[in-house]
Amino acid sequence: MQPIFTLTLRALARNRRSLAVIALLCVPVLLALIYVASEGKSGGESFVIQLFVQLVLPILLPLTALIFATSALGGEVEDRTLVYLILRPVSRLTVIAAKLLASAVITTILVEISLAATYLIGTQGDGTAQNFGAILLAGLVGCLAYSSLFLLVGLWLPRRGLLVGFLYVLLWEGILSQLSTGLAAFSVRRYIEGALNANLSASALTSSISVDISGSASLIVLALVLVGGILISTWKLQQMELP
Amino acid sequence: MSADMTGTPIAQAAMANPHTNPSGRAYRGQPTTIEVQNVSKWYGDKVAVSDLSFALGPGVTALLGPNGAGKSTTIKLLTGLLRPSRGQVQVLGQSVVNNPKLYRRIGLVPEQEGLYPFLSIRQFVELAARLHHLSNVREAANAALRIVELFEVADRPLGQCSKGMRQRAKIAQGLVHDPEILILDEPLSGADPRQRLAMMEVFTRLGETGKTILISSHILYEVERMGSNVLVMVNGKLAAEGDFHAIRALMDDRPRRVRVTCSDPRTVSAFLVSLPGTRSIHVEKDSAIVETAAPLEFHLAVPQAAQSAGAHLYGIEGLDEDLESVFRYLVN
Amino acid sequence: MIENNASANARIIDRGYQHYDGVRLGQGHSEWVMLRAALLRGLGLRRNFRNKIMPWLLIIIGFLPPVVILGIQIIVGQALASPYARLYPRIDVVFILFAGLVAADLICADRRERVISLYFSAPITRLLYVAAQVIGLVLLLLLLTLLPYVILFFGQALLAPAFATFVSNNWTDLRSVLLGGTLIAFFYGTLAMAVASFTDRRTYATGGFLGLVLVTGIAGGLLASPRLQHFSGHEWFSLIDLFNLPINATNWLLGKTAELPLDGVAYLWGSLAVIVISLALVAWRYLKVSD
Repeated sequence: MQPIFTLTLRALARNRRSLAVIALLCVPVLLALIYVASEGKSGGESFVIQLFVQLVLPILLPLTALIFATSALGGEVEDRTLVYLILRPVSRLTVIAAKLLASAVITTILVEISLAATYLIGTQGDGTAQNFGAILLAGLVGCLAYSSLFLLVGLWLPRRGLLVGFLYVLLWEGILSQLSTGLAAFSVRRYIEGALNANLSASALTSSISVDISGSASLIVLALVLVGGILISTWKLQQMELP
Repeated sequence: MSADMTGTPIAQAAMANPHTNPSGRAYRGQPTTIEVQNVSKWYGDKVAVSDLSFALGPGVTALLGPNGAGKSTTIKLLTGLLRPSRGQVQVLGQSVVNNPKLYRRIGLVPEQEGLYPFLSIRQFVELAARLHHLSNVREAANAALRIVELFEVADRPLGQCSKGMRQRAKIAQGLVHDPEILILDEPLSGADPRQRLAMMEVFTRLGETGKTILISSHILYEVERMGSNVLVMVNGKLAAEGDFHAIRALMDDRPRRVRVTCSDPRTVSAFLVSLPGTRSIHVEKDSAIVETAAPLEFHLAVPQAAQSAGAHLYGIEGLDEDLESVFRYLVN
Repeated sequence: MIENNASANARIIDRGYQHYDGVRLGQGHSEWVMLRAALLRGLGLRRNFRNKIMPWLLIIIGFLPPVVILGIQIIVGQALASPYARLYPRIDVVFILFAGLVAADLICADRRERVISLYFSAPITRLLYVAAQVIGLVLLLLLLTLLPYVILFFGQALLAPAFATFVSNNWTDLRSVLLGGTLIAFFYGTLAMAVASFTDRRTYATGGFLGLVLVTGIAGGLLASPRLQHFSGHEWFSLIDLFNLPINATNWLLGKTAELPLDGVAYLWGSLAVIVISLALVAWRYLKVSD
């Protein structure tokens, strides 16, 4: 497990892609800086929460997870190097787990650093630990769930996975799932919002967060996405042919 | 170049006692390690491999065939990278599908697959060693690197290596865990002639220690050097198997074509047509192409015929010695 | 050259490799050929069906608003006054998607498949190549940003009691639509090209462009909002909003400046600046590319 984990970490980190991702994740930090330069300490926390809900959660977080997760496994299929991991006495579950761990670790570290920096700068130390924790927790579970989902997408559709994931994030979660609560049940973002909403202090809730799902239900669904993604990916890897 | 792989317990056991093989079959007096029974593989309408049946055991076997014959597909079927649409593949008595533990005893040197450009050769081979759960990763990797003559340059990143070096790195990862079965898909492409000789020697020696080696190739003379057991594939089917020279001899009942280049082909042909083995003669401006069933006598008779015709003889050339002709006969 | 090689009853025709002795059509013609190729490729013509879906879907959606409005007008009998300012902000998603997809298609495929060195081994300058792609994309975008609204204008004019009166009364609208539509097409076209010229994978190009536009849109919106009331001049952040910049400029041209945080002419200058910078980036990338 460990050699695959290290290998994937190296493969993911060393790319122009990572720089683009880091640049994107600096945007909320920059916005927080500007806000603080203008408003000082007042309203910082609600601004940061608005940043999270309008910018990080809908776009930056899923895109980061998407880029790393599709590259971790789908990239190996496309580059035709997966054979060197398959033709070994290593269980398929181990391969999937190692790949997921590597891409989730990179995604989570980058996203959480960005979130933490944004929060600390935006609130200038005046925020509550509860809300800080709520944001970080929501970020963490979001990274895990999206990484698992996109790892599967990247494996299933090696060349088109990135595009499909993109369309899912922008079109499905961005537009379509807002249209009805029925469709919204299939949107990972909604459950992350639910997890956030459950832990925020009452004063911090803004109108842009939908409040119709409980925190524990959200966590359960996200855990299902994580585990389901791992199991389906393992099954897919077992069935897969490498022509 | 030293590669002392003799004395591994499994090799000795395999050679000593045919009854240790669960499948019980014998392969030229030795237990079979790979059995393929009526295997076909198709993709929709396209048939890649059709009704393949053969058995392999210790020693070196060459998988011969022109491009598109199905060699790579067969190799992937043998290693579980593809599943047969029909039939079954048994390696060391077990199915190779969904059986990762078996890979401890199998090594594959793929041809088309890529490499990790950011890993050094050593890191790549050590990765393979680790994934095989070897306890002496560094030593095993060094031994493998020495065999393929990459030890001195082992710290160069794969992205900066020449094609030949990359291919040898693939060979190193294929044998770092001392597998009983080693399957190589065009392992010598990109290697210079001296390296080719060296590697062929390695494969021959590995075969002699009781390993089952399958090498896919389309270079005939190399195949001849490595020990002469071949499987010939054409158009997805097995066209011939067995000893290479025996196959050639079996083909001797087919006429050979020879081109005789001389100053007066017509008159020379008049003499050649009277030879008992001659089947047909095709006369061109400066040469004659003769089909003969008795090539040896024919070659001896040509200079005499030229002299009798008063012509200058410029050359005698067998037209069937290339692989294409061999395959054409087999397919016919 | 046909060689006549024989008798009255037969001839042998030699059709092998022959030197071209005909007219050579010159540089201008090759410009036209490149441009035409870009246009056809952007629309997915002469390729298999899958490449046609997205562009044509977007074009159909792009033509819906004027069709719908004219349809309503015919049924209800009431003209909708100057609907353009309300249409553009809603339909610009279509422009952005189209620009992102087609730019990636035009620029990235040639680099990825390494066909680009084939182009440059013919007497085609880099400038010519880039110009053909940019002009091609802009022309296609004009199909979306201009044509439907011109049709809408003249459709309303035809439905009006007096054609000439309608046109002369609403002439400023038409002029604004022509200018604004062109500006929008140039803006998204050159920006998408600039992003695409940095990568040779289509998904990264489209995704990068969409991401850039979305992120700057949200950031600009957040920063220009009244939340930052103590930052004097924070309205200027709305210029970062690349999603809406040309739309805002067009709204200013149309005279609908109510919702704009800044004086409208700033958006016009901002759009022009972005266009110039994008063209410069594309030129830089292609002048230095050496595969």
